[in-house]
Amino acid sequence: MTDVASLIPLNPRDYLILFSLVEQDRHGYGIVKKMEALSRGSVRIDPANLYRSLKRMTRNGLVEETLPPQTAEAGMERRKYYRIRPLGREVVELEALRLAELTAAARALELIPGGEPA
Amino acid sequence: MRSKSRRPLAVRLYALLTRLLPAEPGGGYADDATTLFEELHADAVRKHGWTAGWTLWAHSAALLIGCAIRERSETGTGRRRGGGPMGTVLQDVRYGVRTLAKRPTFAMTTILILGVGIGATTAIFSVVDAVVLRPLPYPDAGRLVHFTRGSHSFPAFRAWLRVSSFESLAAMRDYDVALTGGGTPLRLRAVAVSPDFFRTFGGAPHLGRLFDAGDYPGDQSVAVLDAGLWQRYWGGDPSVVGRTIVVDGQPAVVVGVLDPIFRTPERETGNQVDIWFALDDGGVSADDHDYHELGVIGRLAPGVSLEVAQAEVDAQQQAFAEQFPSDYVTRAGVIAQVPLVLLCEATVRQVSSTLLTLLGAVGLLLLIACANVANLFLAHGTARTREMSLRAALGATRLRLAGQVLTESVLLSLAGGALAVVLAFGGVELFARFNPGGIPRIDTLAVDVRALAFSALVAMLTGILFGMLPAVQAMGADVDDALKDGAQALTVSRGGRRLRSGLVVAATAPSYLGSRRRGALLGKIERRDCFGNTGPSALDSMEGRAPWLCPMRIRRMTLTRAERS
Repeated sequence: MTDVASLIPLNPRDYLILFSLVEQDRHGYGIVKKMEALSRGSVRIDPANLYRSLKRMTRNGLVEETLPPQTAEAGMERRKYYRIRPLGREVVELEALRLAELTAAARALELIPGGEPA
Repeated sequence: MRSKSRRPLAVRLYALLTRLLPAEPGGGYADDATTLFEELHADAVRKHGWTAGWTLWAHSAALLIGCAIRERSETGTGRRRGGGPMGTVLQDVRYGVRTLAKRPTFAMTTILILGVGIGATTAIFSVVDAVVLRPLPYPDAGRLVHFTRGSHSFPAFRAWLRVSSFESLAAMRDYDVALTGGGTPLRLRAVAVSPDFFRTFGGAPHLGRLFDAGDYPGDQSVAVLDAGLWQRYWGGDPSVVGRTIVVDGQPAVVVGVLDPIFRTPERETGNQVDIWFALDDGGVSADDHDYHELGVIGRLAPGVSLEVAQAEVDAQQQAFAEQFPSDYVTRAGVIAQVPLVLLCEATVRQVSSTLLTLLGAVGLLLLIACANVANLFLAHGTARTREMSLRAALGATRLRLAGQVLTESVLLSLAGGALAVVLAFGGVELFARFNPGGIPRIDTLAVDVRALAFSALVAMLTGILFGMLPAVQAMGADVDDALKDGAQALTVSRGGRRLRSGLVVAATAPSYLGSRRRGALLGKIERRDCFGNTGPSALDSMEGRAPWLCPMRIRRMTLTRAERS
């Protein structure tokens, strides 16, 4: 069993991949587009590195391959869909908490606007 | 789902690169990455055009190569030291990459020279092969002859039908028609053909039938569709045969669809035909020799030479000249002749000399590339004599030294070859994309794999042969001398100096020849550009079509022309 703590902090790319799978199962193209939307276009991943990351995360038990959902468009049978596993969700939650704490700290120092001082 | 063969070039090249990824028990992710790349590439091309597609390709390909290197190092493919011959090779490869990385200028220059030399030669040879060298796609195409001197009259055609040298004669007249009756009118290119047209070229129907004797003299009431139009306009619907369509406001019955494999002579010269009609000659009287509207192509009878046929046609012209001197005798008192030319020559005559000159020029380019690569390797080798001598002194065997140098040469050659593949495919695609029209057979253009293999072999052998030199020199060198400090230790033997001088000559001579040849080529363009135009417009159009041509040179050519006139 992979130790959750050993996976934190996640690198930004892995974080975005896991984050994009929280809402729903997605295929490679869906993950890339969601990552672009989440990062407002600042993070773009190439196909080889996306699948390399997915392979590593599958091995670590964070995600798993799954069948296309019933609502998938026709002709999408050749695409592999990915689903986040409980361990992956736990990791992404911990990472989000860590980032939230960092953000709160930044607000406390008035590095970024908004919120109450901590 | 798109078939793999119809994928864009960038996707196919990406798929080729995914083979660098290590093989895995589960099949790996090469196919998944290719599918995703295909989707992202289609997105980029749709939103920002094909340059964005190639930018994405370059970015993704570089990251894919990095990914493959990391995967291979993680799976331990390259970690086995001393593990037999394979381990030695891998060690050589690692050492070779490190050595070349330390001399990036040498490595990049060599790769660039090899890539451009092989790639340009292959691209131009592919164009010449597709346009000039490949035989016409007709049975016994060597027997097809073209009646030159523009178009001809009906009476002349009827008289030639009686010439015994020909097995069959085909006449054709092309014009534009409008297809109406189904929404937006469509302008079509039509050709009316004589009864023997399809027999002469070996054309066959895909559906229905072609014209028969009952359709003549034609009146545009029966039509045969080109397979392209049938697919485009009727979506390949077989029930179109027998249907009545409206052409130029008149009904016409579709009797058949032409075999899509059949390439008409018009298509061979770069023009599309949409619809075929039976030729109507009812309105032309037997002595109306003044009205020229037919293109004529004949098939020689078996065993008859072009000269015999020409003699017969000349005799016929002589007879016409006596009967209709106003139509067949020029003001200078000369009988108007109709020279016969083999169709294969007539099809590509406009462009063949220019393309062959270009082929000669790139042949010289390959030669220059090889000589330059040889020189680079020799210079590199001289600089490494000490290193090699040191390794020999430390106990490296000759085989080991030769293997090391060979590995480096092969690495460089492979990188140059990879660049050449990209340049050859890209060059051919660019040529086809920027085709301004009128270049015959351009739609059959594809990279010629044999030419690629030949150019790559010549360039790689040069690299390997001359790359071996440091190892050979190290074997003969005196270790004491070689290890002494100072530049004098790196002297080159008399034989080595001769070899290098020879190579300088070999590299310079083709460059000089190339510049002379290029002058001749530009002179030719000045007289007639590669699309057959002549006179001042030819040069003007050249400026528009060849923005890469140095403006100074164009100005000089223009001046020269002005001075001459």
